[in-house]
Amino acid sequence: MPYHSILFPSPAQEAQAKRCPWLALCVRRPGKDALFETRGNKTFPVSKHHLTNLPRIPALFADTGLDTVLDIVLPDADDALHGVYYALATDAATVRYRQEILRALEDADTADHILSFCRAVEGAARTIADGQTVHHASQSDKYAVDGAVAYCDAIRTLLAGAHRQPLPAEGLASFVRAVRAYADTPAYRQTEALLHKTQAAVEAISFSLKIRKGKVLVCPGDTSGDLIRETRDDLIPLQDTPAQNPPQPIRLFGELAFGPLGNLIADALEKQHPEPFALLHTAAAQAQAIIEPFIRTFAREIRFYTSYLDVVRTLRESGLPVTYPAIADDDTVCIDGAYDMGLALQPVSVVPSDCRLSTAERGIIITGANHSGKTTYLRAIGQIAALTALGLPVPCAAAKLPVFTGFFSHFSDAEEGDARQGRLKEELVKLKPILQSAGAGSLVLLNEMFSSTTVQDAQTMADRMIGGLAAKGARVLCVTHTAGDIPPRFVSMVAQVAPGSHERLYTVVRAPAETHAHVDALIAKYRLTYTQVKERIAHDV
Amino acid sequence: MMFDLLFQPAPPGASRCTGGLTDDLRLDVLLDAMAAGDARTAQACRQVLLAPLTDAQAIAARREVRGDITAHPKLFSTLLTSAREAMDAADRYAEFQKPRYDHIISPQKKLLTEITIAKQSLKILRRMHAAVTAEHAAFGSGAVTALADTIIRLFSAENVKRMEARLAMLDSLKLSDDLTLSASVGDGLKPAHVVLNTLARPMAGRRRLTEAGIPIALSSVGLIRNAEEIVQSAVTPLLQTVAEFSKSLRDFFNTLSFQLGFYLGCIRLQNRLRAIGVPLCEPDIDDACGGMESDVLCSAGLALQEGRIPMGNAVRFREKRLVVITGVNQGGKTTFLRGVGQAQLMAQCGMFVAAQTYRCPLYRGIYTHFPSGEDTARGAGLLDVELRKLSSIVDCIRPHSLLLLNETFQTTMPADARYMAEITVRALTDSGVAVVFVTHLYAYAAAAYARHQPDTLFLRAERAGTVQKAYVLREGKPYSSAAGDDLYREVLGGY
Repeated sequence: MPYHSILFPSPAQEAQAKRCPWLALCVRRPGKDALFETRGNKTFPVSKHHLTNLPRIPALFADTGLDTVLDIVLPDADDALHGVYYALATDAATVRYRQEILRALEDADTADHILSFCRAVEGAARTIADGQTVHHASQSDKYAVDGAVAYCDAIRTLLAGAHRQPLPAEGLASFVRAVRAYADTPAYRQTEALLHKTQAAVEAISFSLKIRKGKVLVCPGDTSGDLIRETRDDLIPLQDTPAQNPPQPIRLFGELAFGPLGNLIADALEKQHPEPFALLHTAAAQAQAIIEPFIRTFAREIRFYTSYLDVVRTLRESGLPVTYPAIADDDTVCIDGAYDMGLALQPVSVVPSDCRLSTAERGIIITGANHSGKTTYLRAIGQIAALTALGLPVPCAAAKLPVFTGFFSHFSDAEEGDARQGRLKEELVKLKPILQSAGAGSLVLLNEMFSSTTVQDAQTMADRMIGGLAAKGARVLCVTHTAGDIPPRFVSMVAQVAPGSHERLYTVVRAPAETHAHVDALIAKYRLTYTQVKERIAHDV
Repeated sequence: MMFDLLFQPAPPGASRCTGGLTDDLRLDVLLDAMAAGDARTAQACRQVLLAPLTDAQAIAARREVRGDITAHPKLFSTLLTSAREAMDAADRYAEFQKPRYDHIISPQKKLLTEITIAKQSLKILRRMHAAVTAEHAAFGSGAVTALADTIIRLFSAENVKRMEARLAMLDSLKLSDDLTLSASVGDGLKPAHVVLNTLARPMAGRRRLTEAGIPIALSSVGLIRNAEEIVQSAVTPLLQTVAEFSKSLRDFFNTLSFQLGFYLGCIRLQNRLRAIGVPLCEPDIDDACGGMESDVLCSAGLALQEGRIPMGNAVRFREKRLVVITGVNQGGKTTFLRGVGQAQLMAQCGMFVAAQTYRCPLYRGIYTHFPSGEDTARGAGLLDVELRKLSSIVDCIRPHSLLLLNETFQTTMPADARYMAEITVRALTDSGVAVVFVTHLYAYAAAAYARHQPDTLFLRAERAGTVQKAYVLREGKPYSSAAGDDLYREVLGGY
């Protein structure tokens, strides 16, 4: 298959990934700095009603905490790469394509090989761009030639390395094939030869500068005498071990462009050596546009993988497992030891949990005491599902799950606590597109829905919602504390609490739904059952 | 290191707890005698004294060096004064090197200053070389031999001549900023592999050689500034080299001044004590001896203050973990304590000791706790201050150290004091600290005496009737009264 991009095996798959309808379900979430706005020299807190200029993040990312993870992975806020993360693949082939590349990049030698190539290409592009800002024609040309030579050398090194040791991943191998095809064309070879010849000719020029009173003379090169070395040899300091550093080499013209004197010196050199400079002007014209777009794009897009791999390394160093998920064809989900990546990166110690769903089980209802890790569990599973679709390794010990074709989430802002009249309506309005678009192969994450109404209503509405989604074939994970009966084909899981001490254990396991059990134990602990209260009050009379 | 006469394992200042040692042991008196008014010597002696050695070999090495220097006092005095002279000269020029707010000193000017300093240092080194070669001595200690060899080898006449010639050549920068550089073309057309070929030499005659090459007239401010920048970039590595050289010479002089200052101070002290007639001896370091043993131990400080030989005491601390000293006021207890402290400190610094014989182990540290009435403690009671000081000593002290307590716990009621004393002293001795405790807490001392422990020694400043046995401590049961009565009658008579 011909090389298309390092991110997608073929154009069709790329188009499909970008077409996901659920991407339109975005939220505006203020980042940490967007809570204040600066006008002039005063700073004002921004109320939530004025959040007009905030970036739109897919709701799934915001809810599962992947946006904070992304901030850590891509600290420089490169918007183009953020977009890559939002384009979740929907087919197993892309996922396998990416996983292969990641596994190849985990090998230090391959990573080194590819990354040094990318760094060299980016450096070359920078040199050529910098050179274009310089006014002096010959200097600008020289920068262009320098950058172009660096670019050609990088390509040669890449091809030589790949020849010695072929690359294991299909994506990387096909890229190298494409580069080889590009570098084998006679036009490229000719340009490369011209560039090398030009650089050699220009850099062979040697000259000497004689600085005298009122003038500077540019003369032919003179190799007699290195005053600094002679001085060092004569004035041997008293240390017995020559531990001192050699003196700094002399560096003239520290800035990008020459100053006025430099320009005149360059002009003098051109007058003295006309042929190399003529060659320089010819070669520069070809050098300016030499960098091939697909190579430049590769150098940029490879950072999608490498920056994520840096985060993976951090997690592994703190002892947490990160693995490549296997793609299940049969709609079963089997995740062991999952944890919330956002928390782990904070760093906060995390407790792993499992998630197993057979084909017949269409969803999970999660209950438990307050602050016992239910939402975190939901986030962890959501992260794993999304990262699987991105082809990236996931935060758990082992995983086998299908590639979901739709991702929807609804995490109510239960922490806000100010129940306003329109909240229920707002919530229902937000849920409507989920019900409309979810279908077979979708994953829906619901967290504490309908918390702004009576328990009875919330239960009825939730049952209807979940039933509707399940009927359409979506997988639903729902956290609630108003469980009535568990819907058919759903599994109940509970966030554990230690029985004696009511200490949150933060693991989520399969168990019958608990909504009051922990409260009973608490009541017993403090002797507040009905009979006990009566007795105690009577006794005190 | 170029040479080392002091054999200190760690840089001085590593021991954190010697803050009060100088005051408590009245080391100032000793230091004044050693320095004879010279501030640098005093500083060097103080730093060395406050960092006693813990390695017998190092102490032996210092003794050897001291022997050599005592045998050739004139030579080492000459070396010391020469080194000081060089340091003074460099300090004078330091003014010129300081960055100023109103203008930047160019590298060329800095280089010229460094060259001047280096030239002066070389003159002095020449003198040192002559002095050492003239002495023609065979030195007994390895360290001094190494120093002499270094001077002879590195500062031989031809070496110095070569260095002076090179500096003279660089001095031509005084005349003009002319120089010649060669380079090849590098990245972005900028010069690469730049080599400084020569500085301009003064023109031989009137004839001006026409030099081939394309001239660029420096006709605008921008061009002149660019040219100056080029000159400065070229001169900077030269400046670095000469500055490094100068600095290494300065370090050499500093070390020489510091280390020789200490040894010459020792010799001065020795001469003064001998003149007074104080018995001096070389200490016998024996780590297995379990405690100090000495005959006629005197307090060197007291001798210097009074100008006559003080009373000597016998010291038999062998196998003793705790020594309790009680007795009459002004009976010489504190003086004795100070004498012990000074002697041990001097022994562990490789010096002589003011006694007829002296044998001691090596303590890992010497600590003192002399609560003084002049504590300007505001807001904290005197007891608080005492305890805080004791606590900071306990932070630093380690097993097998020596702790001298002078009337500690005196600032509170006797019952409380006895209680605290028993706890802390037992804790310290059980941790392996040798404690010498001068105290008026009779109850504490009597109780300790009654326990009859073999590792505790009780000394007392004697009295017999109304005449005090002058300043000699003898072994004996603690007195119940310190004869304050006698003193009262003596001073206030019939009132």
